[in-house]
Amino acid sequence: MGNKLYSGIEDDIKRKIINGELLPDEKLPTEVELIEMYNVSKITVRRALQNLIDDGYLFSIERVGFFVLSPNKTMFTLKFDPLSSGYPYASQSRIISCNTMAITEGGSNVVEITKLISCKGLDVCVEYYLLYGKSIRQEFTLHNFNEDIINRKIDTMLEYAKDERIELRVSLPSQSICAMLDIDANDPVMFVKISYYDEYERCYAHKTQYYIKESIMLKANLKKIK
Amino acid sequence: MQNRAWNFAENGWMKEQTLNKPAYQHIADDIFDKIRVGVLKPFEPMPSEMAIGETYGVSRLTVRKAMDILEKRACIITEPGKGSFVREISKDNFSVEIDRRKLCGINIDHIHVLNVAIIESTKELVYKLQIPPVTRVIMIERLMYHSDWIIAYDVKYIPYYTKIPLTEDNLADPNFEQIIKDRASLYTMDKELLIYIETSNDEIAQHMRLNAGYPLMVLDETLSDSDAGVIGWGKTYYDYKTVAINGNMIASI
Repeated sequence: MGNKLYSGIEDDIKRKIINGELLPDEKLPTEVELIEMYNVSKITVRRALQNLIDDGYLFSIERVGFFVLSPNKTMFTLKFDPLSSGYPYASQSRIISCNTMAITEGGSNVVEITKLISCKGLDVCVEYYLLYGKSIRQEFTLHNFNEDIINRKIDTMLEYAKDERIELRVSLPSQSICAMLDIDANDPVMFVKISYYDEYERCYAHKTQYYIKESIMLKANLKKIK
Repeated sequence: MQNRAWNFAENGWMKEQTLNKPAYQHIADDIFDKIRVGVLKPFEPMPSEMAIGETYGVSRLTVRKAMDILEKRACIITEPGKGSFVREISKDNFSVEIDRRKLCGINIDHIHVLNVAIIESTKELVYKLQIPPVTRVIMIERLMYHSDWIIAYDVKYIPYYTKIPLTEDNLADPNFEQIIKDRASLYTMDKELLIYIETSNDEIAQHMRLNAGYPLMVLDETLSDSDAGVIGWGKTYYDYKTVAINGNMIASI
């Protein structure tokens, strides 16, 4: 046998949901009723219900009960990993410019960095950073021409993000992007903008990337509901 | 196990205290580094505050402060009654909503079915649908409108070897799963999306009334079912001006 009691109950409820005997948002019998129906212990019922919640079939409202969840077909997990999908080969990046500017209002400063990413000798992406912060100007001017240190500083700053937001679209390149990537004004590029937020929900950095169309393919899968 | 992970206290953080950082900041940075380099792995439970305090030789209050910092940095997550856990730093994963009825706030208010046909499978279809080479395939071509504006040209392929009720109602929904919802349960269905750029060829340009070479965002979608395997594949070519995909970082554990 080897079949656990709870998995039998789980399968039975699953089958009813798939068949449409139980409809989305419908309330399930109470735990006590389920215990009587299946003639098992509370622990077994709980285990089965918890597994069904984890698999995205049910949701629970405390003190009210268990309900059938409508199937999720629109929330995706986007893996933004250009190294595996966008660049089939190892890529290299180089810093084109690193400028610092003062914003008088609020005493915040801005560092503006432009990078070019290439793979197999072909420039495939322009990466443009805007980093905000009070003391950021001094930090970056100190290391103005050391690429390694600038890269490490960017990485450390971005790693502290409490939240990140992404925006993806196809756009036509500006003149300067055309020049940097050596493409025509009619060649579409993938525009990817990631905004970084700190623990106070303030945006403190932007990373904007422009990929030539041959270099990028993104993957997304349905998100497992937790 | 725990001892191995927590043997790092003597590795010099004490010496660094000359840098005038408060002790809790040091502990937070130290644990952060351990998570980053993988000494502490995602989903691993954190030792108790007492244990951490002992390891670093500080009070529980200091540990509490350090844990607060780590939680704000989204490195750990505390579950009431269970303790703290290392969170997966999955910063390259975003949660995005892709609902074909309203991508980017532009509603699709009308769908025109161009063509429904049963065709012989091509090499690409055999590969994408994982079907035997002789299987015939249903092809559905549609145009999606926002008032007079053609937002997208859409083509779907469904293997023909079983009876699938295809009703006109089902074809009026831009979401692929609705077309074949009678074939497999929405609960057991999985979707895989690829997002990339193409420019319009003559055929697509003609359908969408655009010039050839016009930029398009392609959403390439494969539907599968845990029992039946691949049950459909399709591509939607969107006018590039109509689509933006937005998402948030996934906070996981």
